[in-house]
Amino acid sequence: MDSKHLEKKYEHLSDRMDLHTAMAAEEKAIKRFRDAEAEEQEGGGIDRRTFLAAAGVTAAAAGTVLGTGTAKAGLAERVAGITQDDPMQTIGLGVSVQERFFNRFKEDTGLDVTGTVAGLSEMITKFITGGNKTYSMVETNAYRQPALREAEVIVPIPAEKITNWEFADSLYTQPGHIGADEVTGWPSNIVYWDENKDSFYGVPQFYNMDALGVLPHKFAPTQPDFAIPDSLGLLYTGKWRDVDAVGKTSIQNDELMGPPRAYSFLWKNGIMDPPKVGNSDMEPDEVAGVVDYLIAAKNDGVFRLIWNNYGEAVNLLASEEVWGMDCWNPVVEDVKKRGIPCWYVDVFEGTAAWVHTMCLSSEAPEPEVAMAYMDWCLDGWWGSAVAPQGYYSPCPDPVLNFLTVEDYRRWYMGKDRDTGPKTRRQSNIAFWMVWPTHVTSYIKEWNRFSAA
Amino acid sequence: MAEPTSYHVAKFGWVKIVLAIYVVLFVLMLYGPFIVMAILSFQGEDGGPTFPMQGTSIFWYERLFNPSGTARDIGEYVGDFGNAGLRSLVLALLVMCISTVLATMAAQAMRARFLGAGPIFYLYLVGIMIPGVTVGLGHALFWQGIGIDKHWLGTTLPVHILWTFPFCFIVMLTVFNRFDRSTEEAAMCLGANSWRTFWHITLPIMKPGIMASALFGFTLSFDEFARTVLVAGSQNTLPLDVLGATTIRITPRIFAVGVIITLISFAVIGIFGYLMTASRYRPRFRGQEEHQV
Repeated sequence: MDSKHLEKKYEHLSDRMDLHTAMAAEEKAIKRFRDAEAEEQEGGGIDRRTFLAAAGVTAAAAGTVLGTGTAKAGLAERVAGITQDDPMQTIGLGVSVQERFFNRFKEDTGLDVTGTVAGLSEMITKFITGGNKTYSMVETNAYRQPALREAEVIVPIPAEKITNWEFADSLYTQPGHIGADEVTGWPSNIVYWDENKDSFYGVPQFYNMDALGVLPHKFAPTQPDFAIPDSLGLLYTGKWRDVDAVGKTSIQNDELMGPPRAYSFLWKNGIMDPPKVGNSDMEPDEVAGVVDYLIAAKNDGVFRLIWNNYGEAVNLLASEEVWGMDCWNPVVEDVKKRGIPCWYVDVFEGTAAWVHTMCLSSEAPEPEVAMAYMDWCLDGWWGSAVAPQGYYSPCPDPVLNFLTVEDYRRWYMGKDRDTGPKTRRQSNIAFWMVWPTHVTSYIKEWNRFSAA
Repeated sequence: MAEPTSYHVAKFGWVKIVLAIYVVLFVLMLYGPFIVMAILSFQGEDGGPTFPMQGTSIFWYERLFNPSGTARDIGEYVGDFGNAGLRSLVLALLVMCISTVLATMAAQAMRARFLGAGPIFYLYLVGIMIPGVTVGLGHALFWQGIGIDKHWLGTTLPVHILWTFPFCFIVMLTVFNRFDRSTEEAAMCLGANSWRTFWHITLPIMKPGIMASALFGFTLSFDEFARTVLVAGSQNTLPLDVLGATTIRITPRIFAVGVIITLISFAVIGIFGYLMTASRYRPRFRGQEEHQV
């Protein structure tokens, strides 16, 4: 890919971030990938596979494992001294709490883990009302961490216990990194307990950047260069270039993500003033202004409806009732399975980033096992297991040991993937999913929008 | 009012047909979502949560009972439906027994006008007036306060009984309302004490009502979610697990679980229905209530 094309596409961003740094990082990742590919073609594949098999790593089912990632050797040594009385219990969403992960952890380390699946608010409430004595750790969306800390049910995790953190993406370790939010300090201030950075608040587990789901065949054929919508304007005005999609868009019924997403569209396109504090943490009058705009759009009939749950989102896109919506990656994958072309595209206003983290309970029955599990999640296999859902691991290097060439090419490098490479996506984050300071105004205003 | 004569039937027969059609449509509307879900559960390997159907097979049911091999879809990894279903079943059966016994006793007590019967009646109904999540949260904080760990049977049982008891109580009240006291009085005249009267006369006549109340209790407990989610402890009951499975991706596997749960419910209703009608103690003297209008 040539830089001229990228420059042109993101020229409006050049005042906000260092495009060349992002491109350079991308080039470096591509080069490393090409080196690995070349090495594999030279016939080094067999040796690497047997070496990995001897080291206890099983090759993935479809194709040769890359095996060029660095990893912490000696998982067995790391967990050598740990004994447990009972299985370590964890609680989290269905994405991260699965039997196959526990089985693999047991194979790798010999330690027992069991987990409970719950919805996000239920999980937090359970944890706060006595769950911290039963569960040793919680796998939560990072924006709930302040609530857990305030309720004093989580404790800092010593940095030396998470040995894989040295491979962390600098997005999480450097506060001023591209994609990090200057205002709220995310995501590095959600990772470390305090400024000393010698203990963890929450160990990042996986993250993604939410973008736009569109039906390309409704737009591309009408455009001279087969361009797909790349602006949130499609959602909120129903218009993109000369295509009229009024009444064919849908937004999610989420009081914490809805306003910032609409706001990123409004201020980037000059309709509202730039944020006084930040896009992630809006002021009450900004929220009110956004909701006023949304109510006007709703009354103009721009939205087909406001969608609530997963099945509804798939239905709307698959039946082509809605041409563009702010859905999640798995929704787009499901729509593709229906035979309807559907793309997940990044918008130039920026994506909505979120991260899931693991926190240690204050009265954990099995803290050592919990920390070993957290470290293991960053070890690589776990990251490769969730990659096909579109989730990125915060420590990408160890994941290379387990992903096949095909998978890495697809999920991290972005080939055949609508959204593009991870490094480029990370440079285009509009806001993070944080717990806003004025959360009551978000809820109040969104109720006003729902009622209008 | 007299029985409708053939004149009335002849004149207003079309009303009956219209009402019958209305009832059929109503039932279809109630069961429509279930029918859709049942159809969608029979999809092939590439199935998803919506129409059009991707193939026809019992693949997802097989998957449910034999989860071997590589999962077709990420959504398959969540949810231990077998064990969770068993827990839900055990809990529901226990709740059903306790609730029905308590409800029968309460309804029997309410037949007499004792001091405080009015306020106690409303106290009984409090369980269904408070929003579910609030009750669950209160219970969760209570157990935490006295230091008892949450468990799917231990701490969940009280909150389920709190939910099902009012319903069972109301059913038993209506059953007792139509009960004819003359049979009881006859028994007492013949020399039976109140316990014999209750056990040999009242209960057998009440049996269908008690069955209905038990069925109510079982069903309400089996799919109770809002109160359970905060007090269930680390092992989920079935509704909690099903919701957990829907947080990743909705696949026909969840529809298959739904169909199986509904079939279990139909089976339970069938069993109860049979028990209600084929009672060994079917009394030949039904008392005055049959002729009351």
